Amino acid sequence: MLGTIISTWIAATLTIAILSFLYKDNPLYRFAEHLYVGVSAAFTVVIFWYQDVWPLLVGNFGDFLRAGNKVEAWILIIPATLGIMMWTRFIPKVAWVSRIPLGLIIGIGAGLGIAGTIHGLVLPQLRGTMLPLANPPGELGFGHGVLFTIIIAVLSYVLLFRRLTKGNQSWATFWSILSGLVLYIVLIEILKVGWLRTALSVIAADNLIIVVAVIATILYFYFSREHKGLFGVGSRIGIAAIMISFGASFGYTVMARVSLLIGRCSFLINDWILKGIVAPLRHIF
Amino acid sequence: MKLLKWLASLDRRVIYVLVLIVTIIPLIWKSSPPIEISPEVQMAYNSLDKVPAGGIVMFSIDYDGASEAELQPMLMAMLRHCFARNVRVIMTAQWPLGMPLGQMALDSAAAEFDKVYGADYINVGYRPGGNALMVGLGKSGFRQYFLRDFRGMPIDSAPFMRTVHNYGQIDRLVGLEAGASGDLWVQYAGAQFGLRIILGVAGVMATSMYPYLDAKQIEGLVGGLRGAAEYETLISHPHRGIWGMNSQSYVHVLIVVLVILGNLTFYFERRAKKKGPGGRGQGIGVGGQAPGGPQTQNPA
Repeated sequence: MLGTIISTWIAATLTIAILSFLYKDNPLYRFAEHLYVGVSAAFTVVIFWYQDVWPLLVGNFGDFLRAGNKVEAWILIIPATLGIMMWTRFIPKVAWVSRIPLGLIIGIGAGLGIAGTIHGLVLPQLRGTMLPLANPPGELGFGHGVLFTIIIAVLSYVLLFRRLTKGNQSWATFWSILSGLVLYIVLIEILKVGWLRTALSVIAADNLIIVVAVIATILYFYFSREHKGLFGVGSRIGIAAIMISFGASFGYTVMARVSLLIGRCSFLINDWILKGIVAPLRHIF
Repeated sequence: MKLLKWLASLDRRVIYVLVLIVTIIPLIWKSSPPIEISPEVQMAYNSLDKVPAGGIVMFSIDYDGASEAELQPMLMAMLRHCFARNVRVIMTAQWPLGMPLGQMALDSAAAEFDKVYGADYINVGYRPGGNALMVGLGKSGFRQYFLRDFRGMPIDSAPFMRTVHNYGQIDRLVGLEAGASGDLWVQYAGAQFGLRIILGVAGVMATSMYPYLDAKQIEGLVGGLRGAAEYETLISHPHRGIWGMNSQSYVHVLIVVLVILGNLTFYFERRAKKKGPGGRGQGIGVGGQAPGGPQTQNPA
């Protein structure tokens, strides 16, 4: 109990010390920062030693010898030697020796990586992008709304708003997207025009958006040709797809950072104030 | 305009205090806001729910203290789900500092369901190696890498571990990820050995995991504290995930309001500058600069 209270107080003090940087840089913050780095490094070394080096090397060596597996025991000399060779980096004259285990690590990594990337990433993702673009008629989803809005926006931009706004791209884009949205709400959601809904539902909208976005993004990263004409249009769609992806990532990042603050505040309120201060005081009085 | 001037020169620490207040107040009440379940979290729940009683789920703790706030509630919820269904748990870690966090969660969840170490769950600890380890576990088998648990106990002293030789005996892998280990599990253990994988990831990297979900390389995706809250809702056990959601919502509203105010301030400031120095609208002095700012001065 006492141990928990003391450790909670230490954790709370260090949390506040780190957060104090938001006011301004100060010695308390720097102390907590250095302590964090030091303790993390020390803890990692301890885990490596007791979880891996000792049981896998020394422990296994003894176990294999006792079990009579002499080959398996003595073969452990090879990884041990390779591990020791890494340390030669600290002696400039023989530092080159460390390149041997490093080369082995890189070689194994590359060998595994090629197979892993092709089987585990390239082929499944290619398969995942080869999607049917038509559906049997059915319900409309979010993707259909997006697709309808984009089609109307593009048409109205080219045929109407580009001229009406006298080439002002920002306003033309704004009005064309707005017109797409309004038309979707009026025709599809309010008036529920039957033939239009059926025609729209036949398109696998989500799949179409994925396929177009993938192709357009690849076009954007093709630099051997000038991004002009139809190629330029594809490249611009690619930029839009990348920006939407960045936007989603940024939204998640904001959420993640707020979650970290919530985690610390939750610790300070529940574990420190309620359990570390209020509960012991109640116990005493 | 006075308000905009004041906003433009607002000390950033005022915003920090506002965020802190908006975060803390809902945490004190610990209310449970309504949580809508997203399809990817529902898929993760359904996948884990299909593991039969006595089945084995392996958890990989691939995060450390920096992501604890997001991933620990997720881990707790999934462990509770497993233990409630009498599913056995093997825990490992690809991050050395994740191992104690995983053990803390195991101890806590096991105590709630009266589960016994060795009989119902085991922690085999941290192993380095990344993709080499993952391929090795599938090819050479567990005993090449894990002869003992993290305390030094032989893994075969846990009766259920005697039947575990490679991924073939693992019903699901739950990877809790704050880095690249999730990709490795999917690309090596999943693609090469057919291991069925559920990922729980920190919010920062959630979007990069959706392609795996769409390509059916993973069976579910739980993203960030929001995902943890959804999972807690599905197992009907409100805890840190759900309690944090009110704060999350209010802080998001505050951020949106601040972004709108910031943009308005910027817009009016730019408009005032366009009208030129000496006119009706001088610059409103962003960041405490003199009205008009250095941009209006002639460099010559």
